[in-house]
Amino acid sequence: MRVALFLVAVCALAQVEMPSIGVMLDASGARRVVYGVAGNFTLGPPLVEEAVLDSLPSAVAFDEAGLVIRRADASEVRFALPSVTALRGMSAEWVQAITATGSYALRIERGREALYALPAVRAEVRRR
Amino acid sequence: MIRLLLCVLLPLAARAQLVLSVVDGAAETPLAANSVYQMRAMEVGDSQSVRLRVRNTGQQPAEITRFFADGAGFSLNRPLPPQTLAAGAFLNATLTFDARSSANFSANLQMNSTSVLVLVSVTLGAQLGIAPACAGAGGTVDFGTVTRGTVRSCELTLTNPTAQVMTVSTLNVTAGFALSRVAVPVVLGAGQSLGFAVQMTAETAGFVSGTLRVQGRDYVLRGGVANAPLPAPIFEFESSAAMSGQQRRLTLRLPSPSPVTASGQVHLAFLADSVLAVDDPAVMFVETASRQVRFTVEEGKTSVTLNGAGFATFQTGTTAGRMRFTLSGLPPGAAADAESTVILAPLPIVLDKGLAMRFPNRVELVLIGFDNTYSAGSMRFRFFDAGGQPLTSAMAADFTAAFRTYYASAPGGSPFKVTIRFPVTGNAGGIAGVEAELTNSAGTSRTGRLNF
Repeated sequence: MRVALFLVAVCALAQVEMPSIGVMLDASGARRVVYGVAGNFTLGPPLVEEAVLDSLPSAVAFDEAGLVIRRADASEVRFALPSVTALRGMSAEWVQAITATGSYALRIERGREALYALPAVRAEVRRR
Repeated sequence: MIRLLLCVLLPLAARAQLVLSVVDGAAETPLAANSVYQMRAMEVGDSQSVRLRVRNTGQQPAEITRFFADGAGFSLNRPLPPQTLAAGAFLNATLTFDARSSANFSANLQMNSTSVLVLVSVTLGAQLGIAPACAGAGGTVDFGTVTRGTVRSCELTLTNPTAQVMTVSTLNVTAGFALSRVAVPVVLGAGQSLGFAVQMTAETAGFVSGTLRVQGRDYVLRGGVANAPLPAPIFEFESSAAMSGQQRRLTLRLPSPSPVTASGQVHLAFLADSVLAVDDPAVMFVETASRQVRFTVEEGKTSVTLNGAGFATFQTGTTAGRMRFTLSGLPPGAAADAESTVILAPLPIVLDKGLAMRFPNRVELVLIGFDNTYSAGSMRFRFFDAGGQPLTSAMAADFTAAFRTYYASAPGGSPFKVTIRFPVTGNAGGIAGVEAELTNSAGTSRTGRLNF
């Protein structure tokens, strides 16, 4: 085993890339990749190909008070966000909440639940 | 003989079809040859103008060969003769008299062969004295620039320069101004003076003009009205320490109620510490996805709206540096100079997520986070068996080159997702967990135990 792990150390390879939290639907109906880490996002250009949005996790819902994440153990995590009009899956761990005034990204990963504002459409990442 | 007769009669006919009139609004009152025209009685220092018109009422062109006013104090503003008027055409002129002394004055107003005697009577009237602070050019009363919502007074005096008692029955001002300490009729004994004031009430910003009438004489009143400067807004942020990787709220408020309704832009500028980071596109207001947001403040309020809301949300990005907030769109003053700076200190690598995966011939570690110093690369790994016992001592690896290459081609900001592959010879199933240390110029971060 120690021999195998020695080889592990010698041959480790790293690939670095831009992280993404998923795909959002912008106000014009275009799908855009949301780059960055929690709380600091930039939007990619509209996707030319029809992107398949993640299905909405059934544990996420909204009501008049805001957003609610319901766990299997019957616990809930709530975020106050008035006037939510729609929810869309962004990825396995993120849900887009759409309101009349903007979009929000809800992190649903257990223990990491958080709500962030998504930038309006203007900020596009220009790849070199 | 016929030709000679025509040469004599045609000029006469032309003169006869030119009519000199006094114009009052749209009305033209002809002045007959050798008539008398009486101008309005005046006081010394006054000036009076009469609009004149010469109209060709005939069917043929006619020529004005002479047109002048000959008399002390009179002037005639007109195109210099000769002037030819087509049939039905007219020429305007202005006869002006400046009353410099008290007497009866006259002038001969001549247009071709039409001669009119113009008379005007000038008397000594009440003299208006203007305090030096309000003495404008040309005898105007100048209130200077007044802050909107305030009242400014100009001190004036009325003096009777004659040896007789004088009664001033007309003394008034136009809208926007008010008389103070005086009421008509004003009776002034010989050589007597009366002090009074005219007040200008500044209701709206801009230029204000009006008239002070003393008997038949008008004095120009004028002033400028400026808005009071907006007090410098106070930038307020959440009380927690600002650092990279946050969404924070900015609110603006005024230390005192705004004297005006105003709007402008809040600008956000970012200066990165690292030479590797030209900019960080994630540093922005999320509401506008840009580095500016509109602010509006209403008169009488201390609250300031940002993009129509009570606050604006901005991202601090993932780069160490400083964010500077400034205002624009305001006139020079305290408000326009307001600014605030948020410092984003260098941080050890911030890990947002770690994932360990095991395959038959390799194990993979995926780390997502950001390095606001742009100096990541140095790492150490420890692998553990299912019992939690270390399988190896700490193994160092340096991926600095890979991170440098990534940041050189990335669109900006330091978020990263690094996938580290460890080829394994032998049975990888015995590897149950891994811990990683990531070091940058600000310190070392640890993943904690990640289980495969």
